[in-house]
Amino acid sequence: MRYSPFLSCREASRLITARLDRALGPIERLGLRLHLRICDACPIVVRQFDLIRRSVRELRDVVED
Amino acid sequence: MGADTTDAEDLGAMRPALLRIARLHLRNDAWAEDVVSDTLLAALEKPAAFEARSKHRTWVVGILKHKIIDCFRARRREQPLLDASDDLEDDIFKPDGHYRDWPTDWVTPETQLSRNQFLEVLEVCVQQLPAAQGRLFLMREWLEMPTNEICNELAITATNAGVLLHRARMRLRECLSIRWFQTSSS
Repeated sequence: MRYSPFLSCREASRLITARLDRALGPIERLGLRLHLRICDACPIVVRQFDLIRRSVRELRDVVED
Repeated sequence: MGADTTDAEDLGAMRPALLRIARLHLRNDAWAEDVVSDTLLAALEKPAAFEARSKHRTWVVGILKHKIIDCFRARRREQPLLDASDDLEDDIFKPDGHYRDWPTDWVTPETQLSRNQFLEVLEVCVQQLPAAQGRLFLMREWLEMPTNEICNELAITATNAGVLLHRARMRLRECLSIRWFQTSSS
C-alpha cells in the first residue's frame, strides 16, 4: 500500500475498516486523516461503518435478550 | 421469579434462540446443534439459583458463547482460512480508486417496528456473507473478541484476519445499501 498523503478512497476504505480492529500506525493515521480532510465521500463511509457496528450490537442484544 | 427457573422446561424454551445464535456464528447446522446440546447439558448439570429469569438467560447465552469459541478452536483445521477471492471492490470502486456511487448518509429508522425490520435485513445480510468472513466478523462484532485473540483461536495471521474483516464490512455495506437504504430513501 502506498503511504502517500493522497490515498485513494479505495485505500482509505481499508484503513477506515482496519481502524475498527486495530490501532493504525502513525503513517497510516496521518494518511487517513489527510484524506478525510480533503475527501467529501469518505467521512460518510466512516459513519456508515460506525452504524453497522452499532446495529450489529443492537441485533445481538435483541436476539440474546 | 423464584429461584427454581433453571429447569429443563425453561432451557427448552430457550433452545430456538440459542440455535439461531449458534447457526449465525458457526455457519454449519450440525455444529450448531452440537454446540446448543452441549450448552443445555452444561446448564442442566450446574443448576444455580437466579433471582431473575433474565439473569439465567444471560448465563446460558454466556455458556453458549464459550462453546462456540471451543468449537472454532476444535474445528479450525476444517475451516477455509480465506474465502475465494472476490472482486466486490472492483464493483464498488472505479479504476482510479473513487467510489462509483457517491456514498449517502444513512438514516436509520426511528419507530420500533421499522427498527426491527432493519435488524432483520441486517441479519439476512450477515447470513449471506461468505462463511469465513461471516464467522470472523461475528467473533469481532458480536462476541467482541480482540483481533489478536481471534487470530490465536483460528490460527490465522493478522493480515488474513484484516483482509477478511474488510471484505465482510464492505459486503455488509453493499448489502444494506441495496436492501435497505436504497429502497427506504427513494
